[in-house]
Amino acid sequence: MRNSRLFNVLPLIVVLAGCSVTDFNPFQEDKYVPVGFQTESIVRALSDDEDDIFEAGITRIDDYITGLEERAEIRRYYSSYFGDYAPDGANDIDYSVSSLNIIKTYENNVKFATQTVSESVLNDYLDYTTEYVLKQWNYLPTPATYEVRRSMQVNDEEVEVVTFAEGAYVEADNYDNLFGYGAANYVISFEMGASAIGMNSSDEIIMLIRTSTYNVLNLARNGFVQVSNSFVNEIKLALYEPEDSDVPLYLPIQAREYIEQRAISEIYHTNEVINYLDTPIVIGFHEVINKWSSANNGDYDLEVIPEITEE
Amino acid sequence: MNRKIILIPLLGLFLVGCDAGPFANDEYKPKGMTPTHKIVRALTAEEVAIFDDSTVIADDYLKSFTRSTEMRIYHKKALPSHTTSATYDERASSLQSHKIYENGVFKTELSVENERIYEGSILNAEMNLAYYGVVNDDETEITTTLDLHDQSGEHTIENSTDPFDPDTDYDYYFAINLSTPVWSLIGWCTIGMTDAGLIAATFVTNDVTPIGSAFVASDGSKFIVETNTFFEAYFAKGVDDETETEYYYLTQARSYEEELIISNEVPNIAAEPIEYLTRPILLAFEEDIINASTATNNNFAIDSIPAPVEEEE
Repeated sequence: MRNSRLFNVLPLIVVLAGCSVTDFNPFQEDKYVPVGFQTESIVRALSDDEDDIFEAGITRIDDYITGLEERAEIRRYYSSYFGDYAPDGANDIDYSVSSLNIIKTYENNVKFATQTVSESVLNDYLDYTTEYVLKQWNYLPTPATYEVRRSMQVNDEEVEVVTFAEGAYVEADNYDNLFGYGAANYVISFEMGASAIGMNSSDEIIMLIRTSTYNVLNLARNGFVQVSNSFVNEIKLALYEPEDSDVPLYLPIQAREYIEQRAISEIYHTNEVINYLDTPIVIGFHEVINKWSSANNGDYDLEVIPEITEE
Repeated sequence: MNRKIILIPLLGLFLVGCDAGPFANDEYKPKGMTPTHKIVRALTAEEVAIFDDSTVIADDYLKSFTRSTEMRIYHKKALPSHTTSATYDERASSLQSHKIYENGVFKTELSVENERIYEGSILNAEMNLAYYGVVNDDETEITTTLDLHDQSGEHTIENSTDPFDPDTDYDYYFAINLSTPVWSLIGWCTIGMTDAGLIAATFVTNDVTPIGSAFVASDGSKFIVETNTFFEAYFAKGVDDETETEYYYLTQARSYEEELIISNEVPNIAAEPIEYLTRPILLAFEEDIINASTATNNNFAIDSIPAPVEEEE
């Protein structure tokens, strides 16, 4: 029934001039609008000097990153878009996840992360939202030991605090894993896959990866639909002049990963001709935005770390 | 009633806007598949003989040429319902010129402009350069100067002086060589004479993608694409001042290639007929135009060559 209604709407959508993709969203309270395909523009190539600074500075990036804000938004609309044709099992739902993870590393060897997650599931017989709050402290109880302590709260339930990991601490071996962000490796792997590298109008380095794939989605009732999957990755690096060095470097300040799935045909069955949509419809997306920080976060008050929950 | 009258001009504006190209300030209109001149008669035996003998000597008489190349890819504009994040329109424009002067100077200029437009991303790159060569009075040294604005926007001027031997180095620095873009293609051409007394050489090809290898848009939908190519070259008669030998030299050459979408989406079922379009859709083109001349460029004002820029400390 839902499916039929949708296809009645399609002819109306077709006449929307200048619009080649239609957004579709069954989550009524959902205000999130993805950045999507939109990226910074590249207006020129890097000069030799800029390229030298960028390449020489990559290995020093992690020395200056002290925080990360990671926002993830995932949507999938298979149930309401395909109706009775929605794929069986875990795909027979509309699914929404909003996650915000704020992580900071402090001067006294503490890394504190707070992640809030809202997960919603929707179809004809499910309609619920689960809220999670996950907090994590990576710290050194003694100079020679580390502990990863986590607290988890699901909806309004009581907070549970556990020791997630602990062991001997050797700075050379454990610092990056416990207190770092792996930003240099992120930049290196991004550069290796970049389809475009250049400068924006504010003299910041922009790297882009734009790719796509397509496939046939198997549906219920022996149905099929043609889908395209678009991938847009962008990263922006700004010139940074550290206080402890005369040698500048480019630090990553923001990266975004966007994956979008579009239905590009009507539902069809074996031996039926595929009817392509004049206006493809977004049936799911995944957007993650990372923002790094190099601010000095001072010392963390160890007294704030909660005690382990008793059994 | 009044409301309808207001709407009509607005609709007109919208339709014109929809038909516009994707690139700002892109006013280039290719000449396309239409020849510039018609062949009106076959060559005489004498004209054939002179033309055949011209192949290896004609470029020696050229004093200047310009070459413009314009390429457009419209994968996004042509198939707006079949785009993905990887679909783009692209423009590549270049203009090259080379002039030989009487006072032992050459000047080469090149400008390049590239633009790629994805849904949501615009990538731009431009560069231009001027390259000068000046041979000294003894013809033993050549000083070259490169005035470059590169794709990063940096401007540099550099020069160098190198040994010069007129017998072995003239061709490298000065000579105009059209063997690849023009003379190597003459064997494919229909050759005849135009009304204006120019020898014309032209050829046309046409190719259609077989169904099994149809053009695949980035969302996986397939289309039949027709590829057309056109080449034309025109040669004027010249006479060697010293030997009075007659020859034909290139005045203009143009090559053009276009890709046209000529069908709707190819059906997924082999027995289903393909719907062909009454009006094909332009998917891409590339046009290359060369103009050449034997006219003297007189002396070059050597003082106008820019001096090298000292690097800042």
